[in-house]
Amino acid sequence: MDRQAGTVAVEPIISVRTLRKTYTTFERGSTFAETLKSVFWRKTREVDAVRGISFAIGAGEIVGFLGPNGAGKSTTLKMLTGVLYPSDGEATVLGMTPWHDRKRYVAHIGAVFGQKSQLMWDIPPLDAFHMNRAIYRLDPARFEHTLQTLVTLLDVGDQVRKPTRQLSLGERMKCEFIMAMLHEPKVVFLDEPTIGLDVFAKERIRGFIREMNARGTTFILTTHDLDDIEQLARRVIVINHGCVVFDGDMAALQHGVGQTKRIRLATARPPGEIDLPGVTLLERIGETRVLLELDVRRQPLPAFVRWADDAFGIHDLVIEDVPIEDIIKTLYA
Amino acid sequence: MIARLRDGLAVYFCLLRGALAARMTDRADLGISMIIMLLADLVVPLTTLLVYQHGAGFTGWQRDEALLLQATFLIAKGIAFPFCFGMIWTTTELVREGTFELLLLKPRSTLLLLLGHSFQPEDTGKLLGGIALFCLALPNVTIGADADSSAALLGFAALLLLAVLTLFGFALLMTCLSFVWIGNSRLQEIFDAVSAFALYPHGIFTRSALGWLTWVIPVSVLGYLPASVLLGRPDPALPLAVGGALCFVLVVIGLWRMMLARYASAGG
Repeated sequence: MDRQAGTVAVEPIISVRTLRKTYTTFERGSTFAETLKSVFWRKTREVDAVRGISFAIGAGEIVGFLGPNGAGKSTTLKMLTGVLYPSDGEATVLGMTPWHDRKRYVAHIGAVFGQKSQLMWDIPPLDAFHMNRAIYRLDPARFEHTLQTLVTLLDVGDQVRKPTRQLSLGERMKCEFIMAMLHEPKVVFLDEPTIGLDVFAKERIRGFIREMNARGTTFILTTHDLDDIEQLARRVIVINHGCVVFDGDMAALQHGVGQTKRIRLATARPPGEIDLPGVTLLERIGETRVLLELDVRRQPLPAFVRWADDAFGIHDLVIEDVPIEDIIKTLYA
Repeated sequence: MIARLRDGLAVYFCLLRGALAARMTDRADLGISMIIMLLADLVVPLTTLLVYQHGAGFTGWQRDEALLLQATFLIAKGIAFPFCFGMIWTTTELVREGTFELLLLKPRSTLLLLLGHSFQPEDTGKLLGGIALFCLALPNVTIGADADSSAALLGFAALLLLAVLTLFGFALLMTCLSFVWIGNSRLQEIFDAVSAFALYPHGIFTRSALGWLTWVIPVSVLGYLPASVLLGRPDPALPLAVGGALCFVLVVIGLWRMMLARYASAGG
């Protein structure tokens, strides 16, 4: 699929230009001799984690940041949160360069990590919230107001007073969100925020993200859960091997592969060899049932239906879009 | 400047309160740990007592003077350990888990956050032991000898503060090493072995060993130098030793900044 440049209608709040990060890693073999040798000498290797990516994100957007493991998503996120210095390139978030003047910058952003907790295990989340009040120099009255709003929105009034270790994963994630939003950040980075949650907790978290977005918060969402992307993001940036391979809105992503349809076909006679341009047999479900993929640019749908009816006699026909998972897999390939 | 200091202290005490509350969830463990810390650090002073009871001792040092020296070191450790040394293990754990960046996402000094999160109340056992030993030895020694005793006390207090600062430097050095040496459980053992030299008067060491303990690894300042000032027998090398200790702390702070800038975190 051709790379599409993401367009930002409003003034960009995040602007990334040819951002690059190269790591030096060590290599060794797995045999005993190689392990012993590595004690004294290790072969180094340069790894291009991020290879000069560029994009812009406007205020108030929810952007899905997708990519397979090791694609460079987390490295990009770490550079954008000011945690990591890039090897080259530029980035501005809220008019600041994240890795310069880090302390001033991080006061304006929030971050939620599905697999890294900002809460303290042995004490209630409420105590951790009060620590954040001191850390972010929040006005007590405003802090109380924001806290009440967030607690009500996420319905965790009782849970915030229990020790964190007694909370369920869903309750803990809600408290993680409160922790990240107490200082009312304009931009929030989410790294797999719904990982391991049940459907109810996921729905609550997604509703919260939508609500905060409606109030003006910009979200950058990294996830492997494509339901999150479908339900929240209007725009998707797909990164693979350190490069942006797609940057556009969800509709464009689906339309790009929307030229391909999945067809479940039940026929009167067993379909034999299907040798038609633009038609791929994906699966034989039964003697008279098949799953096909049709490229409508090469084989228009009406023509295919006529051909199939003449050849095998159509009993039933279901036409589906290619699932988002398969679209993403195409981009990852 | 004062406002910034007050603001920083407010954050520090807020984090310290959290760390204390977290530690209080297991009070029995905390109590036992405090007693163990107290007893473990009293082994050397008890041995010193036995040595003197059998007619031996450190040349030029009376029994209570030697105990005062050891009490000084224990007090310095008793202040520095609960407030500073926890950051070594906190950093090791965070770096190993790849969660150290959570501290970097806060708009405050990472060192301040680390210190606040890492308060170890059980180490106050060392402080209690040190104070008890100091109170036992003090009535039996002459403060300041021929010099003004209040000047000796003031000098002692200043050097005790320097001893705590130097111990903070050691803790920060080990914290820096924990970025690159993740399995650094040996660090504390190495530190304990080296710092044990602070428990003895300088008379027992060779000149070259004294040079090492004063200029290279500032151990003298942890016990011997404050105690000798309190007893009115300041070491001629005192000004240079103080300078050396301050340089050590400044170099370690520089190293900390470098390690922080180099921190690359674990994978996604």
